[in-house]
Amino acid sequence: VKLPSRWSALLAAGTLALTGTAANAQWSGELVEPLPVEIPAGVSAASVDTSIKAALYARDWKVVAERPGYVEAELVVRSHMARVGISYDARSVSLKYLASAGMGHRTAKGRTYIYTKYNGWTSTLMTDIAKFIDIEPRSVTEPKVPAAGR
Amino acid sequence: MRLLSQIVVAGVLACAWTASEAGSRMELVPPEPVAIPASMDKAAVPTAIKRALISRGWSVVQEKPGQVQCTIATNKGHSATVNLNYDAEKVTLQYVDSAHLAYREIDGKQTIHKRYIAWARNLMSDVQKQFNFEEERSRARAAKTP
Repeated sequence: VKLPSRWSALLAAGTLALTGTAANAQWSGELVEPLPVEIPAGVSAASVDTSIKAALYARDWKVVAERPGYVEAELVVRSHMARVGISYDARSVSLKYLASAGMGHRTAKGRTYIYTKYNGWTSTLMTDIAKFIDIEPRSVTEPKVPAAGR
Repeated sequence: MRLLSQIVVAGVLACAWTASEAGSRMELVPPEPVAIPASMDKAAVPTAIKRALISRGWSVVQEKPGQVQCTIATNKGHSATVNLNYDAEKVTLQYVDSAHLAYREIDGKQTIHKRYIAWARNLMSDVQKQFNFEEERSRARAAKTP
């Protein structure tokens, strides 16, 4: 069956649009923030700060802003960019999405979707932060010895 | 006749397997030592080494001053153990042991699966990266000090 050229063009455009949507759905997933990392007792704030920055450096993230208890970092991979904020206190380190480009970030029906690689990048980063904190030296606090009974 | 053809097939497969294993083996040459930057705090060396190895999936087996012994294992049963030896100037990697990595020592020449060579090279590359990080931090601290 020979279709008129206009119909053929429309059919081709439709097929391409469907293929594109399917591919987009495949590489896009719900944005999942990684679980906070708990800080063991005796690890100083300076050690936590060093561990976060060493983990960022190891995974090619760049620190773009910082203040006490907070580090903002950016990762650029080819045409994709993701920016996150890492907050920490004496108990835990947490990571939050801030911005992205070329990552298909969108919100639909109250859910946020992004290029699935993003979840992998942030999860790996937090795993490294946890491992790096774990090998930092800790201050030893003597357990309180109860007073001897009379 | 059927038995003969089975023997021939088994022989061909064995030859192919031996050839592929031989093809994937390389001479075990340790990677180049990594120099410790002069400006780096020497007390930070073992921690920087450990950061590099744990981010590559290695685990520390034991450590003593001047040496961190670590191991890596895959879920297919391949494993390797190495020593990362350090002094004031450099870090060197020394092969200790392996499993299912086709390690051979013939006439004093050691060969091993090329996968080990890649693991060792990547590990030393990450040690270098952690030293670069420490060096940059030292410089930044020095720049802040009046």
